[in-house]
Formats: sequence, structure tokens, C-alpha cells
Amino acid sequence: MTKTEYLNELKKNLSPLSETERLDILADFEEHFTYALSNGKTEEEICNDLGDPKENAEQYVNSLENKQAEEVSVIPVAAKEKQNEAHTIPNNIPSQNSNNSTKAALFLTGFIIALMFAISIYMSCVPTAAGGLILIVLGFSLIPLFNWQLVCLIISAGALITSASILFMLLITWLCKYLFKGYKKNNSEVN
Amino acid sequence: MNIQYKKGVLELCVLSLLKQGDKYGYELAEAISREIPVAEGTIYPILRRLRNEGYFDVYITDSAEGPPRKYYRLTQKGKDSQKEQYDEWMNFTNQVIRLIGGATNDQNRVSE
Repeated sequence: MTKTEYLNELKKNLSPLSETERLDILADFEEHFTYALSNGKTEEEICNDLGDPKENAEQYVNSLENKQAEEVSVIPVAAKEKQNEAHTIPNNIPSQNSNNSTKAALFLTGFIIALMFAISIYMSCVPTAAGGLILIVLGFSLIPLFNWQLVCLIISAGALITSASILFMLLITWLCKYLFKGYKKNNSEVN
Repeated sequence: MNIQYKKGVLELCVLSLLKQGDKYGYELAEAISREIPVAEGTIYPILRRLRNEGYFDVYITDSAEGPPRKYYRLTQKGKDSQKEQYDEWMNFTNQVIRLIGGATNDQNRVSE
């Protein structure tokens, strides 16, 4: 196998990675070829020493997949940020500690904001649901007084408001469950 | 030799070589493959992963001959990890050696 063939084979199997990353990896291997050639090795020997290009490419792709699996779980924003950082300047890798604490702070802020939203929605949903119920009761009590169209309108409006606000509350409860799950997971990851 | 043995310990080898001083990729690949029969191409993915995890800084210097060199320098985190992995490895190999009935690292050290 020649140098070009080797690099092509490597490149082909690195396709799941980003363009920047792929070029960076290929540059590493090209550098290796340059030094090994100047040490008097032939391209054939170098390819043999490097080992199967497909297997080498798989190692990069596998470690990317592991990384993604770890990061996707909590907040995509932080994961994306981390990836961007990794892409930009190789010299400037932030230490894991500071990275973790920013991530934790970011998550905590998001968590508190989300919780405040949930609480305020709850607080506004309860009176709305109660209002809807009152409207239904009112509609029934008005049956002897008004014409049936108006009574139907009032009852159905009440039913609609009640069910909508209860559904909304259920939805928020459901979302909160995931929020807490994420919070717990984030905590255990940081510590 | 069992490939699984090698994979686990290559990370410790890379960290330990860098503890002795900054090195560029080819230097590391050569140093390791001189001692352990391993495909040199497996070193580069390890270097990249450890760099992404913050164990190394990377800096580029021009060299008199050949292309600019990409040097790897251990960060504090890398040094800590090297120490931890070194201790783990020593303990582990001592335990295995006791089980399989050879001379432990400690005994070797005394006899040296």
C-alpha cells in the first residue's frame, strides 16, 4: 500500500467526523509519513507499521460516539459548546474542572428558570381550572332560566377551560419529571 | 501478545513518556512501538482522545528539517492521571504476578 492509498482509506473511514477533525487527523498521519520517510523507511513499511487504516479510523469514530453518548444526555448547549472549543484552538484546552463547573452553573441556572416557569404555570392553571368548573356549575344552575343554546355554550366553555388547564398541568408535571432526572444525572456526572 | 492487554496500558505509556518531557506524535509512536509490538497508528487516536479530555496541551514548533512539529505537553490533570494510573498498574500487576506465581515488581526492584 502506498502513502496516498493509506491516507485515502483512512479518510474514507473517517466520514462520520467533521471536516475540520478529519483534516486534523490526516495531517497527523501525513506528519508521521514524513518523519518515517526521512528515517529511511519505505511507504510500504510505514503502512505496515501503522496498521490497518480502517481499524485506526474506527478508533477515532468510536471515541467520538462514546463522547456523544455521554454528552447528549444532559444539555445539548453545553455539549455543543464543548465540541466547538475542542475544534478551535488545540493549544487552548480548558481544564476539565473549570469546564465542569461552568457546565454545572449553566445547568443550575437553566434548572431554576425552568422550575420558576413550572411553578408560575401551575399557579395560573389552578385558578383557571377552578374558573372553568365554576362556569360548568353556573351553566347547569342556569338551565331553568336561559335558553338551551346559551346554557350549552357556557357549559362547553367551562369544560374546555378546565380540561385545557388540567392537561397543561399534566404536561408540566411530565416535563418536570425529565427536568429532575436531568438534574440528578448532571449532579452525579459533575461529582 | 493479546491485543486487549496492550490497549489498556498504552494510555499509561503515553502519559509516562510525556512526563519525561514534551514529545511530538512520531516520537511517541516510535518510542512505544520499539518496546511493545503495536500498530503505530493506534497511538494517534489515543493522543487525540487524551487531548480532548484535557490531559495535554499542544503547541506547534518549526523544525529545521521536515514539517512543523506538533508537540504534546502534559497538563496538571495529565500528570495527576499518570500518577493514578501508574499506581493502579503497579498494584494490579503485583496482584496478578502473585496469582500466577512470578517475581513481583517490588521484588524485582530490590534485586536490582
